[in-house]
Amino acid sequence: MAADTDHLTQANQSIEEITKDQYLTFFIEDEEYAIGIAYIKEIVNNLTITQVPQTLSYVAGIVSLRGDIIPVINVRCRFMKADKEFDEQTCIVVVEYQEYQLGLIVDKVKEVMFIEEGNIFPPPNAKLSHVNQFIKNIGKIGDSVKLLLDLDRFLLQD
Amino acid sequence: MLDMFIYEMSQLLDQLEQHVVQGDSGFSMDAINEIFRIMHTIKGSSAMMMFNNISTVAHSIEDLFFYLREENPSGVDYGRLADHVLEGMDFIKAEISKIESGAQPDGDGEPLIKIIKNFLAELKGGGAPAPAPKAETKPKKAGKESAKSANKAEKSAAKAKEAPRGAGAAETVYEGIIWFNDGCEMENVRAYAFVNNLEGKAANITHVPENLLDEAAAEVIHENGFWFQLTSGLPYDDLCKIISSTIYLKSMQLDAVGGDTSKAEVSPEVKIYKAVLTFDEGSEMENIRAYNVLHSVEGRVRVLKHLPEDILDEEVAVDHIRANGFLLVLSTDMKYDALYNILQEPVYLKTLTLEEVQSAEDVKVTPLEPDENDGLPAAPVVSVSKKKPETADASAAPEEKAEAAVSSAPAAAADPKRSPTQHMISVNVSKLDLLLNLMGELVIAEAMVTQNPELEGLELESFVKEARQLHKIINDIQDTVMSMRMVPLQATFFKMHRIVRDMCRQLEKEVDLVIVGEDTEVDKNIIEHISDPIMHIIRNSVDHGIEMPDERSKTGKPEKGRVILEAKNTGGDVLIIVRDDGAGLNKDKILRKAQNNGLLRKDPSEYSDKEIYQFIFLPGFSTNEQVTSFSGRGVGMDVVSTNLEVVGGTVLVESTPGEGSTFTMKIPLTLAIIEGMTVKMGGAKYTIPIISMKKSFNAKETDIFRDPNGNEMIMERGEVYNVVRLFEFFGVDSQIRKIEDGIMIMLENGEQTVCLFVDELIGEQQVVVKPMPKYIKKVRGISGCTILGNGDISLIIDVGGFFDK
Repeated sequence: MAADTDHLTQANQSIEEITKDQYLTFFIEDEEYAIGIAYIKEIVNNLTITQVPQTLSYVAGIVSLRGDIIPVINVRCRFMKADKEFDEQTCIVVVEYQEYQLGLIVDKVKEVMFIEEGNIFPPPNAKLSHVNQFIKNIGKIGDSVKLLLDLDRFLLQD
Repeated sequence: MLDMFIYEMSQLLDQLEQHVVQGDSGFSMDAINEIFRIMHTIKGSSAMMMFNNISTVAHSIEDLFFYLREENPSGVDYGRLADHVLEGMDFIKAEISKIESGAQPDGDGEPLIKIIKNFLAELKGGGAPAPAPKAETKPKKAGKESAKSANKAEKSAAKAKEAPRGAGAAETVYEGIIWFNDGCEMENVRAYAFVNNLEGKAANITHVPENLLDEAAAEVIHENGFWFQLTSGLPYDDLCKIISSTIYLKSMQLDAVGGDTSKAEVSPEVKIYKAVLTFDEGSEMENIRAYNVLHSVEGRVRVLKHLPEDILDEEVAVDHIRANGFLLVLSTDMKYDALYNILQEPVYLKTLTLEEVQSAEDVKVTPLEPDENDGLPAAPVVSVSKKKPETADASAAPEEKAEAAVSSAPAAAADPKRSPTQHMISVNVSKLDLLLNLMGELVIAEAMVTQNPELEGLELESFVKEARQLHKIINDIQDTVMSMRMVPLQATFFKMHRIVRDMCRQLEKEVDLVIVGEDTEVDKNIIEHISDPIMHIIRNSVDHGIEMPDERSKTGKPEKGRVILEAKNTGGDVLIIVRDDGAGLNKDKILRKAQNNGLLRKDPSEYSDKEIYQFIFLPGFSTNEQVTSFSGRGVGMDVVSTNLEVVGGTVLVESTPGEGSTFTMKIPLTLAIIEGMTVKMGGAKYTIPIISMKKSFNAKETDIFRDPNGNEMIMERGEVYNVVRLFEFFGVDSQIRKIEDGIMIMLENGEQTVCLFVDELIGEQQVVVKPMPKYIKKVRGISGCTILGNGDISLIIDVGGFFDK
């Protein structure tokens, strides 16, 4: 029993180690956002989204992922940006956060990349717009910057 | 019933373990509530199954958490607390595994209870560290104690075996008094443990005070000591040793009062009785019932023999008891009436004949059909394993051995291969869920193959034939998979008989439990969550609702109260109704208590009846001033609402003062399988439970008329109905807005009817209801969703949502 637990903790640790500093980046309009890879379950496309009436504006609906019913969030709506027709680059990023499994509709998924802790900076302290309250940190890779999402606010706050 | 119990216990223990282990550094209030609830349930269930050692241990832990919950004391040593709870848990686990393997749960929980009680006392005393070391040394002591006694038991067993050869080993009657240390508390329980300890080593134990389970006995023992008399084949010295090993023993006195021959004079009142019990037809599991009988008389009588002997052998024993009744031969010094009363306790008892016989041999039995009624056996006498005490020295020793054999019969007789769990396996429900999902995929895959576009235009006679066969098999599997999850409420409902009966005895009330609709089937997941709520509501009804008989007759009601437990399907929901004809809820009392607890948010006069009744479901809310073994701590009704919340059910209370209360639990169709009509509206598909659909019809825009508030109505066959346009109700876009272009569906929910306007009907099919993801808050008019054969999602319409509350 004790050995099992040890084994498990070890496994968990190694997963954490592997996924540490790794982020999946995606585009909404021209901005590149990033989510820690530990939260990402999979990326899917071509799922039919069923609308659910009377839900929050940014909830696009629900999809069936191999028998699981998963709510889908339209990230554009969440960021108060204009809606956009789906194209061949539009995907649903399935994330697992706390007890929820959620799909995020994004314009385009770019890549998985390392952002070292030293290259992560706090966002500007002035909360100017609705959107930047979802940004936890800013990651810097070379000349480009990625916006690191604060999943707690992004997913769970009204 | 037994495996249900075992399964339930192991689940509860698993939950408990999680909470306790998490709480090692400090318990949250939620965890304390949860542990308290779990212990409460364990206590209740095990007491019901008559595993008293489990229930007493659970009770002591429950007490501990009750204190924690109520007082929320600071400076609690959580590490030790967790240790104690885990110890208690291990004890219960060990007992459960004994039960599971068909043995008797005979562990002694007393040392453990003592430790927990001490710990509680310590907490109450402001966490004074002084008693701590004492408490800590006890487990060791207790451990040694049990090891010692186990050792002794072995020794004495060995002796018993040797005895037949040693002609000198005779039974002697001893008489003695023991005194316990001052301040050791609970003398009655200690005495009880003492008597238990002697079991197997001595026989015919009589003692004063007689009823050790009555707490008043503690006082008596404290004052006068504990007097006992017994017969034993052990030498005086050995017996002394055994007795002196009792914990907290202050002084003892033991005298041999006579030899074997005088036995008859010493306990002249010991008589041998023969009892035959038969059970109601259809009561099921007669062997378990017989087992319970044996258990209930244990310690009070000596069971000399019983037929069928192997009562744990389900097939044989059940048939035997059904055909011939359960024969019990026992010796006891109890009065006829007292014995009769004990024996007539079992539930479902149909007849009981009890008669005194001269000796055990008088009970003549033919091995296959003991025809008790005429007492004229056709076959020669079968010698009875136990002989009467009057027998001479030489035979006294073998007797000892025989007795041991008889007393251990229930355990030993169980063929190890035939454990009670044999016919059932418990499957993790998540596996069933997975199976169901895969089933759905299979159906889709089948359609993809057999309707593959590449097959079009081909002449495929044998392919079509085989495909049809495949389709049939898949359908059968689907039915089986679905039926696997459905369980009738029968077992859950019948458990309640026992509860009502036990409560009636304790509370001296008379209550009839009437069960209606017990064959209603409910998803397995749901049954697990509703059995506790039902139990608590029934307890509540019996304890609080039904009045005492004399009170009832004063108000002109029949003395016997009545509780009706009913289940039925309505519109896709399962309703479980508990109705009593008692006093009804006391609104003022509830309001007052709510006020005292600071629960009122507005002026008391503004509360509606419904709102007032909802207070009783809050944790820790009880209007009972006194804590009884059944209620008063305010856990019960709290369990009701928490458990129902999990399955998304609701409970509704109606009550008329003086006439009784009705608790209606509405269990939604979550996870159930329903027959649904799929319709289209806008771009999406919706499924309407067929059971709420009355009919569909076409109408014209001109048929619609409006009231001043703009509510649309339609006249159909001479009756007027409200019209709900689904796209308007949900606020979604739809191409079809005119009544002529779509279709009207008449829906019924209870008494109310409404006409729903949708785009078109698609078809009827069985669907598996899935709950909406938690992330999406409750949508009015939608109860869940389902995945259709082609993989599309359809939202399930909650017909009740169209009506105002």
